[in-house]
Amino acid sequence: MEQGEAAPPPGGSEEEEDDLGYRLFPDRNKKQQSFLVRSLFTFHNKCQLMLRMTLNTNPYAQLLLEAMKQSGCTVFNDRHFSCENCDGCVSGGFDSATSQIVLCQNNIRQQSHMNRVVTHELIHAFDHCRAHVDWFKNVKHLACSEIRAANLSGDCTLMNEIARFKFGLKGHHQTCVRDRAIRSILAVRKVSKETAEKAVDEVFDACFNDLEPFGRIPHSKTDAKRAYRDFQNRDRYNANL
Amino acid sequence: MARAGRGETHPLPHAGEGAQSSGVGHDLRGLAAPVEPGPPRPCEDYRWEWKHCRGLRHAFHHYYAHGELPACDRWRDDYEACRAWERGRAAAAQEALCKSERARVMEKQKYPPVWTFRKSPPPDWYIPLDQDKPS
Repeated sequence: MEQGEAAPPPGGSEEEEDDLGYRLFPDRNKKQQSFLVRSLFTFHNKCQLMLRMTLNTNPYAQLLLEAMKQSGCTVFNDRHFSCENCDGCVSGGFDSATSQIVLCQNNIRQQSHMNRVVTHELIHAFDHCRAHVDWFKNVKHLACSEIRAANLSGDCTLMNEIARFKFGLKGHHQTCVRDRAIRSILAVRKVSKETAEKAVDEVFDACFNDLEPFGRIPHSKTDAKRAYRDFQNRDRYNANL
Repeated sequence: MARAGRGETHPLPHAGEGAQSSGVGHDLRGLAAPVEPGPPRPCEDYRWEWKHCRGLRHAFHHYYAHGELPACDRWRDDYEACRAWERGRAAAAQEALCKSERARVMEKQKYPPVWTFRKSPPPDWYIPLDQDKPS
């Protein structure tokens, strides 16, 4: 199973870290392995290569990087991304305490998956950059970011859903976004399913329709490229409106 | 597509990298000459959006995402207004086009935001990681 979700801050008691999903990222705050061990016995190098490919060529990621730069949060590969081993069922996370996107090198094996995870986590980072998101204490804030990430990253395309054996057509995208947001909340917060569902339902309309910085739901790279073009032309748009 | 809908409610200063700006008036920035207003988007963009909206792929995606087929007439009307604007600067066409685009911006602001927007980026975004670790 794959998920991208917000990761907890370092420090705190073990119980607090478990409450915040820290257990999913056991390598956070551990001393980094030696270069040789990392290169020979982990997928670290492959993760780094795929990440570089995504950041250089994927229009979803390029738009998000540009939007974050315009918002004052330039993303640097070495500082804001970290390839680590994670728990078996997670693909990545955003650690707001260190302003880092964690990529699970042991769970991301394909370039398309890397594209999607990077986009998903960059949306969390973008929200963190532009708004006062209370990741740890406000479940609605977390729910909103998860709804946006599932909606805009391509997590819920028809093909991805079919691969998960989830079948539906009319409006199924929204069902998928809702379910994945709930799943992500439950993975990183010790809240009941009812609490997670209630939070998602309360913010769903507002957050599903918040399409920043894309301006549209990008269903393909063509849509993402178009959205990037519109983003670059936004000054003209605003001036002539 | 409108991206400025929230720009007025959460302005963030640029990070000193230099604002990326394109479009009408950019080359005249160093001069005092006034900028002649043009359509919010190039007319070709409206045409592209209209053709794209009418395509089968987009119809499918829209049905999958929203449970209904898309309405594309608005893009066609905007394209025609844009062409009229470019040809003869017709005041009615300008007004109709701007009204349509402003309505698009308002539609995006239909729901109140869940969170408060920042006035400046997070202060710890660039702090080196070694400094984050507790002593």
